[in-house]
Amino acid sequence: MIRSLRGRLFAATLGALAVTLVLTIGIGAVLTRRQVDRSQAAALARRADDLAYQRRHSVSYVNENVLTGRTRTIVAPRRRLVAYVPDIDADSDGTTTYDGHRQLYAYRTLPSRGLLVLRPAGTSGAWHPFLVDLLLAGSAGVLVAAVLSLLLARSVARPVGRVADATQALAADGRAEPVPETGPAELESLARSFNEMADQLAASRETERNFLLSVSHELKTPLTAIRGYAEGLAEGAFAPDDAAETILVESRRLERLVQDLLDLARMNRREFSVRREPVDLAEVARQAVARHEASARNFGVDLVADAEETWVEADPDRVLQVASNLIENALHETPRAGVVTVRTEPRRLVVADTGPGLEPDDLARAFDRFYLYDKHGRERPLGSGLGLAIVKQLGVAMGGDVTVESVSGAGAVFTLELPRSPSREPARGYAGRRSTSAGPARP
Amino acid sequence: MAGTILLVEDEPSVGELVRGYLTRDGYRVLWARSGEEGLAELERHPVRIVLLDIGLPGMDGFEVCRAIRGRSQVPILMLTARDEEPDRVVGLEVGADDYLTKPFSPRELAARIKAILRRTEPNAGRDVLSLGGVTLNRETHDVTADGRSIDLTAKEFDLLAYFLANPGAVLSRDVLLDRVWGVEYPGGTRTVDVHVAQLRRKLGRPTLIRTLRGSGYKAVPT
Repeated sequence: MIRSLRGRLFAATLGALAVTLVLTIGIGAVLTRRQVDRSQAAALARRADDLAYQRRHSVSYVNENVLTGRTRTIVAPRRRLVAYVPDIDADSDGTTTYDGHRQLYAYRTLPSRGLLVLRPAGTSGAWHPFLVDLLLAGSAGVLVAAVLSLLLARSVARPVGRVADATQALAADGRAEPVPETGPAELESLARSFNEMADQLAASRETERNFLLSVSHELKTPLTAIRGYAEGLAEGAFAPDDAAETILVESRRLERLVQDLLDLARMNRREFSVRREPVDLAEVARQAVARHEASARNFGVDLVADAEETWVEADPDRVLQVASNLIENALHETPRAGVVTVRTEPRRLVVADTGPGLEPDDLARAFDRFYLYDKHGRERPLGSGLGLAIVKQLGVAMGGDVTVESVSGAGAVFTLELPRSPSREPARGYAGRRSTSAGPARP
Repeated sequence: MAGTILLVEDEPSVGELVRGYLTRDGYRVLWARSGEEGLAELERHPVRIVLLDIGLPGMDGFEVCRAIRGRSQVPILMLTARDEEPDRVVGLEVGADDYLTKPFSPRELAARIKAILRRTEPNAGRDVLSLGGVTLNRETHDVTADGRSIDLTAKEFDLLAYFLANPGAVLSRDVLLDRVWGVEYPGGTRTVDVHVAQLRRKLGRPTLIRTLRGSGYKAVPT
């Protein structure tokens, strides 16, 4: 069993060639032989005509049986020839059996007698030279074809082999040199697909690596502070109040980060599911605003709810989490005396702030884990760096999306869009609890 | 110990911690929140050692380190949350003297700073220093000139110790203020001149500490 692609291609091509050759020679031989027989039959007929003409016009009709070379001439009373020709009273050409051998014959009628010229059929060997020529030409063809098929097999097998090697390298140490994109269209496309896949894999590995670096940094920073203050406290280097305050703040930061990491990990699991039931976004907006009123007052930011009933199909707890996260972000981004507005549009919950907004370059990556945080987090301390990534994933998990629009320097607008609720009937009695009291929170 | 430490760290909690701990150890800590700010501070102040975080916004720690090395041989201690081998190697390659990963113990940080200073300022750790017949013992605080015991105030003692630890080096008034007084002294550089004059008088060796017009002082064996 040949295992290499190259060997198989070569063997298959060669096999096909051999079959073709045998068929060609076989058919050629038959055709040649038939042609030879035909010309011999014609020669025999001409001879019979000559002999018959001579007999009719000159010589007596003696019975004779003359053997000249391979040709036998018989002149005999017609009825003695009845075994060899179909009709003894008519001229005919064809094959017959004489002496137990297949013979070509030409029969001519003479007055009261018949002239039969016979010649053994097919044994003349006249077609053998043609057979040799055929064989020679065939062999030369096979030789040329073998070389060509070897080249073809190599040209197919080599690019495939390169991709196979690269795949192995990719599997072993996670990266591969790009495969040259050459060769026949299919192989070129294979190489291109492979290169694209390798690039994507490398990019996703890089993303994971960066994420891990960020997580490591975000975990170690509060740990450094906690450990440092605890040790300093033990040495008497810090006032207990200051140290305790920092340790507490940093522990909370760790806790938040761990919680967010777990949330993200949970969302990445296949079986992560959200409930789907009718939710009034206005109600969610009011609850979320109520939750952040105190914090808005501390920031000195006006938190305004401007919500009208709009029903969507979603998980009420998750929608609240998204709204809450977006409001929290907006509060951190907005300078003192700014405004954060939470409003609804049909099937949408919109959180707009009057903060510095996002650079055009940042819009595309705003929801990437740690992206904005790494860029601005230190100047405007907030969250864990994972908040927007969680918001995005939750939005998508509920069949909707979270998007951001912003003009740099003129605030950012985050929009949660969710699928329409097929039945507008509330499942958890939200409709009856429509609140009218959640007005703007004044600082 | 005394002297100015430049801390380049963007994390407020870690910055507060390091500044608090090292200030208590007697250093003056300048805290820059970014690489660019750190480089600017380095221009303005006589810095004894730089503590450099790697994960900075904008210019990262490696770039800052390279930029510092382009202009100064000040010792650099890298602080970082990354503890992968390549990062460590890159850190040392771009010219850092040491590398400490977070979370670290502040006491270890202080110890490493001392170790680096001992390495880079070879006489800083020695107890007995002598130059041109003047001997100073940091342990017993005894100072003798040609066997004669000399009485010095604490600052005069520190100043002499610094001169003896750095013989032959040109020491500007700013550097002396920083290393010996360790703070932005309200009296300014005049204080240094007054103390040097006192030392010369008490030691009876006016040429031990030579004045270099426009650049500072230099201790030379007579």
